[in-house]
Amino acid sequence: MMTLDRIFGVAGLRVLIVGATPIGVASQTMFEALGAKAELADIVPDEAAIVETVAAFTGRHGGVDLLVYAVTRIGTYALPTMASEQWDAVQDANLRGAFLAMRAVIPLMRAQGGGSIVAVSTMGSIHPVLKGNGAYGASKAGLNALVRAAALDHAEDGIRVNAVLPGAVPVGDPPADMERLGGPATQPGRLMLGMGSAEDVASAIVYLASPAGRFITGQALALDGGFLIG
Amino acid sequence: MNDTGNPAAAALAPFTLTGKVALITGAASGLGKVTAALFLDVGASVVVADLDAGGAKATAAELGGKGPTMGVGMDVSDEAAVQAGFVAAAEAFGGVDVLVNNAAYRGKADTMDMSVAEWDIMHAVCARGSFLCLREAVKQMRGRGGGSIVNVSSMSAQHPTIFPNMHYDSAKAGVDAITRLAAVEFAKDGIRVNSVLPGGMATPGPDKMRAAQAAGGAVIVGPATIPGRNPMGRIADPIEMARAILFLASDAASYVNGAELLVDAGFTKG
Repeated sequence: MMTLDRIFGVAGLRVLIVGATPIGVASQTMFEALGAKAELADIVPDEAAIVETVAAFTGRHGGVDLLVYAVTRIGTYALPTMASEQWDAVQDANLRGAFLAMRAVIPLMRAQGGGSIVAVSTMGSIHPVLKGNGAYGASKAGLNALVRAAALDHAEDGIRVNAVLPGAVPVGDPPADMERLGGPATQPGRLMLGMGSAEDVASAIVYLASPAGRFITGQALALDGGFLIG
Repeated sequence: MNDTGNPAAAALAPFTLTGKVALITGAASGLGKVTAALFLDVGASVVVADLDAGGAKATAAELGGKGPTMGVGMDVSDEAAVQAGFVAAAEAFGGVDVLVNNAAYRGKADTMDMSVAEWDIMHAVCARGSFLCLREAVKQMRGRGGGSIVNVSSMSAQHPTIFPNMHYDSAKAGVDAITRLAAVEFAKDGIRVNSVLPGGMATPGPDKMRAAQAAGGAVIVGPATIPGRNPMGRIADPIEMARAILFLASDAASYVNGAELLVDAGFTKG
């Protein structure tokens, strides 16, 4: 047990999870079970809410060791008829909010000598999964680039930044305006391990946050049941 | 070709191989033969190289009406045979400006039962053969101010398509590694090296594969056999690959080096 703690132990880690998605909820449950102090912020990730959330968390715990940005706004829309508001809503939630959250926690992490950030992206950021995912795929591909940029900028501060790329995993209720257009992931036989669970993704976030992940930064780890090689 | 009174012809001139000498391996049939015919149509002299010496000579004779051709027997996995073939090409046409490493071995073998000999012949033809031909081509191209080498790889070098195919996919991935490394190593010599990664194609190779399966050989399964998996819903005509090879071989691709051009109907994105 002692040895496992040194490898995967996250006890005492101060974990702020932004986004009450199934993956966010599963991550909080798993980190708490492992002895971390994990809080879930169920917010719309605008500037004021992010700043307030990070300040309140820091007030309670004295710092942030791990930020999990789990906010995920899905939505498939036919490109020629997608409203600019639909495009913007997806970008704001998935990408702009991640920037705001990183901007809020990085100075704190730098001041305390380091930290770790995990962003929940999607396998759809590197390979088409559903038709109509232009806004979603672009926002998450942008998130991957943000992760790599932040990892480069802040390696010298002891801050590691990584992304997980779930696929075929519950992401919460679709927005009412979403159009169902089919696509590769709906073809029979494409999901060779079937559907995954939010816990499958939470495990990977724990791994990236743990001592075992201390040499990993700027990466995008797919948790897709093999879709990407099928 | 250089009719200055015809802007369209002038614009298209870089897409030709006027005055160039091209050696194409595996050119007696299939994609190699189609590529040879296309190259001749756009002004190249073509050395038709093939393991089947009689087939190489017959194809060269058949295409001879289009332009200068010669057929040479060449086992690309045999160093002496490759050297002899390139010597013959230089004696006939002065040297090679374009090499298309098209020759491949297409046998399928079950992963768990495959003999080492089967693994070795695949890598000998696809990987070693590409290396040996590249080396002889570079020697000649250095004396001619540069050249262009196009390696015919496979989309399966990047993404699983069918199995059992482990010896083939790994050999073709090796070919792409040769492309990337040689592109950097020989850029100073004015030699560009690129890969074309074809998807499924209507050539004798797949026909042989299906015949072998029907005769009790390895059963072919995998992502590429899933109905509807190919976004364009059809396999390629070889000319669609030959045109991609021509582009990379020609001066139209003068700034393209080390590229892996997928010509796969979007399979790897679907």
